[in-house]
Amino acid sequence: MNVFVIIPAYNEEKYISGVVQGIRQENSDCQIVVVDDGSDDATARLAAEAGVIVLCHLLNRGQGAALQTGTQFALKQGARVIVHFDGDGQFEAKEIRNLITPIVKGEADVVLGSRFLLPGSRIPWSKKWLILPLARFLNFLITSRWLSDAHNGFRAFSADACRLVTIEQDRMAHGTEIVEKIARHNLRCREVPVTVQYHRYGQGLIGGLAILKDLIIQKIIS
Amino acid sequence: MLIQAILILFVVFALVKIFSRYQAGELTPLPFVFWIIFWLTVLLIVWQPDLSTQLANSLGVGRGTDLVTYFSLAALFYLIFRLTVRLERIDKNITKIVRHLALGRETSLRGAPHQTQIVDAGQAPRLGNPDKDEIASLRSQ
Repeated sequence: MNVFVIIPAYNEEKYISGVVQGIRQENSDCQIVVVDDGSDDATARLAAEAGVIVLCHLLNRGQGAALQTGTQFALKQGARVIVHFDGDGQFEAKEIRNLITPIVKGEADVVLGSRFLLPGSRIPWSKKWLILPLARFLNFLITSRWLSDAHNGFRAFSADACRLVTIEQDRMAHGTEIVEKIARHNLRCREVPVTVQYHRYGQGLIGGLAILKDLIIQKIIS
Repeated sequence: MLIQAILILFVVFALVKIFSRYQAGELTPLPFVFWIIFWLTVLLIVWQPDLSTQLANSLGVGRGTDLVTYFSLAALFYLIFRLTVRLERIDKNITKIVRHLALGRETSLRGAPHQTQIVDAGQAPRLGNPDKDEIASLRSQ
């Protein structure tokens, strides 16, 4: 099974080598693609030195744009399964297997990681009790799918699902967009527990409002 | 009144600018007519402020200046909306170009364990790890 792991990375020189090594150790048969999203630091060089495929965005375009670039590349290379993975070391490489197994077995088209199905994730309390429940509710309103997590960047797709779920949201709203397209195309979706270690806070309330703004503008211009 | 003189001067300046841009071919006929009508209306209101008050009263608004403020606010919000949509489209087009370049190079930097192949247009592939300058030069192309 031709599995591609896509890692969007923006100024991740601190973590990228470790992330790549971790994936390689746990999943030696995976192809790893780092999409350097216009980093100002040594992310691209370190990723190249780690011996993975590096795609360089000349300008910073956002996580959604980087994921779509990596996905298009992987599809062109004949990927059968595509995994989205973060470049800041917050996900566990050994859990990639859990995500791709339902796709390999033909039981699902898309597998989404969830922080809330396992007790292992250490989530900041404001995020756990305030921001994520709100995000889940908004996700439900927009996508009509009730998921246990919202905007978890650890996902896996079959190649056919990837061709249907094209990411048009360049920044962080792609998390909602992906779920909306999964629902629209009636893809078989499954949630799998994943562990998340927080090195930084990530999306806060302001980030959530920016996502909402992006979603509204997309609705208007599309 | 002094304010009237200043505003009239500004309107005349705007009209001259519109004519010169139209003559230079930078403005198509439709926007040209729109801006001429717009600034002539402004000129009329500045010259005869009572006209705006009469119009305001007929629309149920107390003062002419209030009516102008309401219309200006509505027009400004609409303009901001249009600009936001246009910016979003430009943003998406920039992403397309950036993606095209990233994929077109078929990975400028393509690695194999412990040995990285740098492929650049017009050059034979060579082996070796890229340094910071090489990455910067690939980016700057």
